[in-house]
Amino acid sequence: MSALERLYNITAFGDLWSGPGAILMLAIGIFLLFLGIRKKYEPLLLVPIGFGVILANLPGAGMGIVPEEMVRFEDGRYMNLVEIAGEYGIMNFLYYMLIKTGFLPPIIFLGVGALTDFGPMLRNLRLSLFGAAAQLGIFTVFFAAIAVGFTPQESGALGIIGGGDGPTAIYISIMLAPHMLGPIAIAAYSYMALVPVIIPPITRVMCSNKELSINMKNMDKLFPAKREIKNMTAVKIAFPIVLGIIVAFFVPTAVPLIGMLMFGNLIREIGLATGRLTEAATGPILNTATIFLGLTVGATMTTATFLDLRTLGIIFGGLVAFAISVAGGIIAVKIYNLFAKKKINPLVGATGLSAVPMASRVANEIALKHDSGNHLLQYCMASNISGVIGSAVAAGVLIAFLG
Amino acid sequence: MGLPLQVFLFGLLTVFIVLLVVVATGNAIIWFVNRYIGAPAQEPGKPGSGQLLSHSGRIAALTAAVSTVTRGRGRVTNIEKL
Repeated sequence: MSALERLYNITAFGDLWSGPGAILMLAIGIFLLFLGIRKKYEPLLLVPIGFGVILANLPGAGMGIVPEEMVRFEDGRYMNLVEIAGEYGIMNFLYYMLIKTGFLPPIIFLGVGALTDFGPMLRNLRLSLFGAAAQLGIFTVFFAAIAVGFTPQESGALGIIGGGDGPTAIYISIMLAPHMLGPIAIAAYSYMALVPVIIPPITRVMCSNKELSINMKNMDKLFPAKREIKNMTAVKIAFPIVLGIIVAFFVPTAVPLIGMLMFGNLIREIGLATGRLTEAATGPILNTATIFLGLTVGATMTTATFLDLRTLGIIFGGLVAFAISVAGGIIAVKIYNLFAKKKINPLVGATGLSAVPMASRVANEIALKHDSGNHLLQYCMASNISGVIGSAVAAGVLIAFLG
Repeated sequence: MGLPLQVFLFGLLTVFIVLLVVVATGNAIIWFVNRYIGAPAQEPGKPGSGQLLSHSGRIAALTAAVSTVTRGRGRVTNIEKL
């Protein structure tokens, strides 16, 4: 009998019965895998996150991320990484080295920058301004979250979901509310994946058929641009250098994100001379960062941190923030159209949040349904790309005020 | 003014100002490049430098399409009319 008992104690079944919440968490992990694999919702992120959730909640495996208090001494110093690895295992080692230090989100921004073409934005610079209006959701939900009892730091982390930018949401969570990192990352990436479901109903409610049929190319013919760009290559190389420096003076707290975004973009635009760097930034570095980011963020979602009513608040609040951001961009275009001769299709405003290029593709499809010759992609990309800058700046502001 | 209202107002205002700066910076760079650097010289007789499409809107659309389809990895280096 005692041998059987010993055998039973070696297994994790005992832990499973003593903490049944783990079963629910394993189900959530499998559901995230289902969304990533079967539904193809952001598979590059949801698959590692889903598997991270499973690893963290396997009874007895000790792969879940432990709260910060457990790796911090009374005098405020942290355990070193060797101690963390020895005491709490490899996942905590990865988390405290790569996530807690805020290392991975800027690295992902480096890859995003190297994948981003600022060309559409440079050709339609005034459309970039709608990227500001589309950050309305971030600050509105920040305001509302405080009203319902979240702390200012938690509210900032919750609101940033409205920016529609996964790495930025993760970065802000690490800086302001690390205990909410898991749910916020899940909400941010899920809503980015659900852009094709979220944007169409909002545009249907807020825009008339006439507005959705505004043909931007016809507008360009009626009101042509005052000057053309004679040397796009030179402009594209100068842009990230100059803009990176200028933005750093306005919002220094946004430099880790904007700086890496601009550096990534610069090595892309230089071309062959830095081709190997671009290849590294968009391939091995970005992919490695994504794997570790997904796994460790997933591993923060243990029973204790996730099975909480506040998680529902985060998921719901994130959706509201996202929707308000889309609506904010549309409203801004409508206000602009009241005064301008050269009208803008409101779908351009709806894509002012990040979620590049999904939001632009969705907006383009909606426009084509109303007018088969109305290709909006390049116009939407202008506000879409400026949304990346806008949400990174919003993140910098939140850190400056609340960090 | 309470902290939430401050963050709301200053946050939105800062994002708007920075994007205004983005527009101004972009315009300034375009002006500078147009004035002092100008168009890149075309090498005559270079293989593949056939009849180029000069319509900037069309080129922009092709570039955006290639960027979207290739998830930003592909680049348009030359456009020829077949």
